[in-house]
Amino acid sequence: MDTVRFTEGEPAVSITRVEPGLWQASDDGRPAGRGEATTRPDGRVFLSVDAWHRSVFDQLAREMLATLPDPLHTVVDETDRELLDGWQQAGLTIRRREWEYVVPTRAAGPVVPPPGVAIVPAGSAEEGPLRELDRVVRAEVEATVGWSEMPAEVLPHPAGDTVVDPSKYAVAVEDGEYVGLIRVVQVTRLPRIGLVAVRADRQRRGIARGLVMHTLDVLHRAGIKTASAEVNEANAAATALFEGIGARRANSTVELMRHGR
Amino acid sequence: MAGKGGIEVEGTVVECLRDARFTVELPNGHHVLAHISGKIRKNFIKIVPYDRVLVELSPYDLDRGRILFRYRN
Repeated sequence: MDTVRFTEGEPAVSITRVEPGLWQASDDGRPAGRGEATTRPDGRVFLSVDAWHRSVFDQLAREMLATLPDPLHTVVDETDRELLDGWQQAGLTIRRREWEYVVPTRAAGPVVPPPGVAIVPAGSAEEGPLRELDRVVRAEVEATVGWSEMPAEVLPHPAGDTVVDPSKYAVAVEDGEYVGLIRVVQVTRLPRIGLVAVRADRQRRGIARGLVMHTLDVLHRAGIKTASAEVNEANAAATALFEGIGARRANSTVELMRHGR
Repeated sequence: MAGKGGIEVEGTVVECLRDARFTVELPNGHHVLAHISGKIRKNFIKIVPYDRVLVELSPYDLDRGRILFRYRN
């Protein structure tokens, strides 16, 4: 373990790298802070620092940034000005912004998908075609804006299979082929719309809207009044989709990055 | 500093405040001003009122805390 003793700042702390991705700050034996570096399924390294004092945050961030190779990322709630300032002072810059929307399920009226398109509800989709569709849309995104511009994925994907739980997906079917999907996860009382995707050659026909409306209708009938969704600020189509159904912006998260030094 | 010497206690979120902070009520009725841990932030876990959470209390100020974990319903 490597320990660095800081004498400036209040409190003065010792920082020890206890594991390759874990740093601990100690104030005379008392835990004063902790920094972690974790690798996302896409290979990007994300940092976090928890500290009770700004000076300890600065010292932990400095140690981590001095040790780890670029590029490095972190995410911050944009209303947390102190944390945002801390990372910016450490040398990270804002790379992208995600709006968190509160989506009222009451907005869901009769679900009318585009002509020739049917919606298969969550839990009824066939796994094989679902996984194939997921591979296709991810390849299309990767070939255009890049998956790193999409909502973050933090669960590991064994053997590159990104459909962790097929029962969470509803799909749009056209001519017997899966052409669009939506994933909704409900861990607490606030369900999260985690992914909406339509094959590139079937976009701009209202399929995504049909999937979202179907999902909101299902949630509404289950007695749930609102859901949440995150949308990349640069994604004009997704922004228009959610704002068009009455979703309102509740918060924003920014991803910061340190580029190569 | 989960599990590393801090005082950890379960509580219920009663209010979402500005600046990504929350008021958490502990079983003894005490209210703590808490922010979320980096791990929760990195995993995009959303905290809303009535969520049951695990809070680490600050050793410097027992009125402050950090939300380490959100329990499932």
